[in-house]
Amino acid sequence: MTPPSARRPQQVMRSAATIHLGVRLAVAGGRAGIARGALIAAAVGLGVAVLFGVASVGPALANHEARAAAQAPSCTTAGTGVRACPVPAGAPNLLEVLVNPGDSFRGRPLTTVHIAVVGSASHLGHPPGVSRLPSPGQLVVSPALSRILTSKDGALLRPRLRGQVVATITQAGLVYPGQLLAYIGAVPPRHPAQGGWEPATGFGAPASPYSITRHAAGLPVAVLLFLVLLAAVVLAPILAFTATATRLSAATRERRLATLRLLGAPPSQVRLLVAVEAGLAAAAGCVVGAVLLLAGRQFLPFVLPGPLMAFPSAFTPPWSQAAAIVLAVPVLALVAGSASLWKVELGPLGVRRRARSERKHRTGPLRLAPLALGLAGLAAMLPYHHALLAGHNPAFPPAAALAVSLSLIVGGVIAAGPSSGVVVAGPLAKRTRSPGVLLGARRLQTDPTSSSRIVGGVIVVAFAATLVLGIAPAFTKIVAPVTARPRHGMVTVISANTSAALLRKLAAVPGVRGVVPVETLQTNGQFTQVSVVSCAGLHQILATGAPKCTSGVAAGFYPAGQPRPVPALLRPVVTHSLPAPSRSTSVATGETPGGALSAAADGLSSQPAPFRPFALPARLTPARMPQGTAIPGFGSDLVLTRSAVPTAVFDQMLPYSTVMVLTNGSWQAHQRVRDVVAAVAPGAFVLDSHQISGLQNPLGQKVGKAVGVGLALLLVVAAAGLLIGSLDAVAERRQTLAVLSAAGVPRRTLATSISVATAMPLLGGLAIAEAAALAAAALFQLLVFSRVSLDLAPVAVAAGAALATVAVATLFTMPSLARATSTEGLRTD
Amino acid sequence: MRPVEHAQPSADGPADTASEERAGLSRRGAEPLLETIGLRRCFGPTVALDGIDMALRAGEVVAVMGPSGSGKSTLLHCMAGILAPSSGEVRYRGARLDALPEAVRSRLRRDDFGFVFQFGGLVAELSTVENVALPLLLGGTKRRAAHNKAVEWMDRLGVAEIAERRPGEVSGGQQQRVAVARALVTGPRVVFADEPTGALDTLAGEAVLAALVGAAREQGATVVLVTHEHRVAAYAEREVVVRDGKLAAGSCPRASEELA
Repeated sequence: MTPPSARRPQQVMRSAATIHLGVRLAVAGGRAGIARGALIAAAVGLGVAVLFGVASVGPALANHEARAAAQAPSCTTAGTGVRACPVPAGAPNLLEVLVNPGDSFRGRPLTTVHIAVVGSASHLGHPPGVSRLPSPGQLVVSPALSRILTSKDGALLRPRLRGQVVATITQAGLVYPGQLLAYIGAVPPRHPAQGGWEPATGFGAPASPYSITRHAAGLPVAVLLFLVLLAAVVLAPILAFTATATRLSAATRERRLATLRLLGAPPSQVRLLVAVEAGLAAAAGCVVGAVLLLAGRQFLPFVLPGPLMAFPSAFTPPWSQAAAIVLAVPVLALVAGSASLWKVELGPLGVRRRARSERKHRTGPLRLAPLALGLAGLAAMLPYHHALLAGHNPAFPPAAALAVSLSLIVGGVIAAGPSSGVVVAGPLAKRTRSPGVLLGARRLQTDPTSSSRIVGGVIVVAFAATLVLGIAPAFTKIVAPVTARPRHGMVTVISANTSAALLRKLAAVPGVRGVVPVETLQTNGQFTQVSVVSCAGLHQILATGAPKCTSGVAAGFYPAGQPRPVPALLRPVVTHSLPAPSRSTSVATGETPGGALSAAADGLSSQPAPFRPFALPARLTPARMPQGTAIPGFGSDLVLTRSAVPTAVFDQMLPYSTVMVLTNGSWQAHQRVRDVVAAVAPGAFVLDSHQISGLQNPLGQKVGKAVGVGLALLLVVAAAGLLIGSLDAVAERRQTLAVLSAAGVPRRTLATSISVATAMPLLGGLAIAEAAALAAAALFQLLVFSRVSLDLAPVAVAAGAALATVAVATLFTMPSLARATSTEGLRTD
Repeated sequence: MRPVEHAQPSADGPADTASEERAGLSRRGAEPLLETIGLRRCFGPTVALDGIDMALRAGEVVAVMGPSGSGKSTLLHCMAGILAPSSGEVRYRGARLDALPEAVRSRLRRDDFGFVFQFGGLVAELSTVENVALPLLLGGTKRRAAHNKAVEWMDRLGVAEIAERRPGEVSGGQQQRVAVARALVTGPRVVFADEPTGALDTLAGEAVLAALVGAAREQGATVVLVTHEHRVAAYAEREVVVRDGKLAAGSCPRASEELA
């Protein structure tokens, strides 16, 4: 008897030989084998690239933050870690820095930093990527800004970037490629505090809320949640594609497995062979995924919103996560490869799947259970909505709970497809007079999963598209509830240094059609933002739906369709600080029509002025407010006429703290306005209509386009899977089709049968997918926004795209059908 | 009668006597090598084999004949331990095949049995020499040794020149010769051939049969030849005829004394 210790090396040798054989089989499959391996590697690679991409978001954000912090003026004495600011009076050496993060050039954010050296510059730090501090009259600019300045468009920037460009900022000093940044050497100001200048000893603050790159609202938590959801949804069609690729040439592969069994390979050895094959493909997929990430991250800075913009190298997953993905994917593939043989009998005479009992067909509706469970999971989170609004627990709903619910929904959509097809196939087969429909329906009844698997990817993409497109508009509609379309061109200027002279200069700028001063009052009551404007100005600002307003009569207006307060989740994560604090008036609570307001001026005064109560107009009228009537909020909650505010209160405000400049909408006019403002009030906060649109659409136009392109790419992936699956199905049935054709069945009938077998699970699956996506979108909106704003257009677009994709793919399989039905198809192997 | 023991050792080296005895496989030469006793096999309500009793001795070539659907392929599958009998027994060297664990039956198929089917059943992805070496590789034989042994057998069957080609690149006759080489490369005690010339023309069929029977005799292997052609059956030393799942009258269920 052979002792166990002697058998062990033999088993090891046999396992090694099996693994070697598995490798040989995986790489020696001829053209078909190579194509199959390449497809699996591509499919796994896409999935791995998405996982790598998701894992890279954190490092990219951190990189963005770190680089932004490095640009920020610092009050820390270099090397000591001791805070030296505020600098004591009479300090010999320091910097006076004036940062304007709100500038813009043709929609691209532009940051200007005026730097004045007080005393000697020898011990003062300089910005990153800059070798020395610019002297007065000198500019150090980023390469992108340098290119603009030397172009013909540069003439519109020159007035506010006066001086000689003496150097360009290296990559080490930029937050993302193409950043427009200028360090402007300046003469020390006489009254730095009034102009918004800040003392500093260098640059490179620890993570500060006063990051100069935070020119706009950051990513709200809800948007981050949405991006997580998007990544999860993107993975589903890729998984479907992977499943299609792995099932290619299934019959050939199964014959091979049967041969191995006949030659004496036990089932465990065959499973090991299958697992090795799957693992190899997955390993190749990891390499493809890494290559895709390396190639794709070059384009990420151009499609991601501001806070995620970073250099391509920043989109690198942490080693730990990358290693986990690289290890986990092949292991999962090995497990999946083995699991694919679950319920499969690997016999010497062939591979057989254990037949499904009739009972299983009867329990078909149970396939809807995961879908129902997933939707119930989302619904179960709704009671926590108020906690979300209050911001008590911004981490809820946990990403895991959301991911589980969504996975159940996606899984339910995939699982429900075959059931829907079979339900229709039976009655159709009984009633139809068309032999083609009969053939297709009966085939679907016999093997519901094959056809459904082929269209599964397209159905999941349609689901993803409807879900994403169903949720995305809600961000704009709910976050930016202003109902009026923005004035064609408008530039909002906020500054403590506004004056009648500035108004005159602005009115004289070519392309400017009107200048309206607006006062802004801050409050923490129901109306979070109160604006004061003249009747004439109000009529000038409002493009449509101007309310009745008579000069000299106290009146109050609130935006029509004003929603409840913006949920905490939607508030920007990054708070914005105005560079030049404007004097505002505090308004106490009690803002019901006819009620009393208490207002007090503060701002520049060290002693807060006493509150002065005054009555609100008896009637507050709803009006369609344009975007940007109040800055920095997303829209004014209450607009009062000058007559509605007592003179005693009004006099405490600085005049013209906000100026609305109405333009012809050209970017040149906006640049000229910025040039004029920069000359008079360098620290002014200027926002034009393009930026306002960006603020009101937290997903951003770039993200919207990226989502559209991404969905289109997913559809291409799904279409590829569909086409490959369809071609393979025809190839696998070649002999049957040839026999039918030889027996006189017209090719058209066979084409009809194939189309019917594809169309029925598609239509059923689409109906379920669209309904599920709409329900999920509605629940997601309820959870985050507490209201639902659904648009049916995405449903039509998604369903139409899916149908068109399937139609085109089916059309492409027809030449293959023609070949299969030729007499050549009658030949056996 | 030729000795029951193999003329050559198996490719793995000497047979593992202890493990064979553990598996219940007798090494006594006096008993039939392969025996069916009251073998009955049903597929649902259809009775494919109905009480087959027959015995094969080591080294004999037996043709199993009968019309299509008579059950001859089912008989072969049962005798090879691929299909389990519904009732009755199949005994290989004294041990009931259906009572053996799957791992032991797999090992039997790999080491003791060889198969040649109508369609060669070659793995399309591998070269012909790799196909021949496959049973050895599955058994854990080192690659070089397996390759050398495969080349040796291909040479004996006259297909060495196509060793590096894939099955799809050679003729049907060559494919079958490769299949014969693969069936014999492990030095099996029994070779099961199911219509081995069914897909070949007469000339190629004759060549394959001559190669199969000749090499098997050289090895001292028993050959079970399922066919419906008398021309093929002529290569056998005796014939059994299966009709409607039973042995037809006139069949020789046991080897003659002379053969024994």
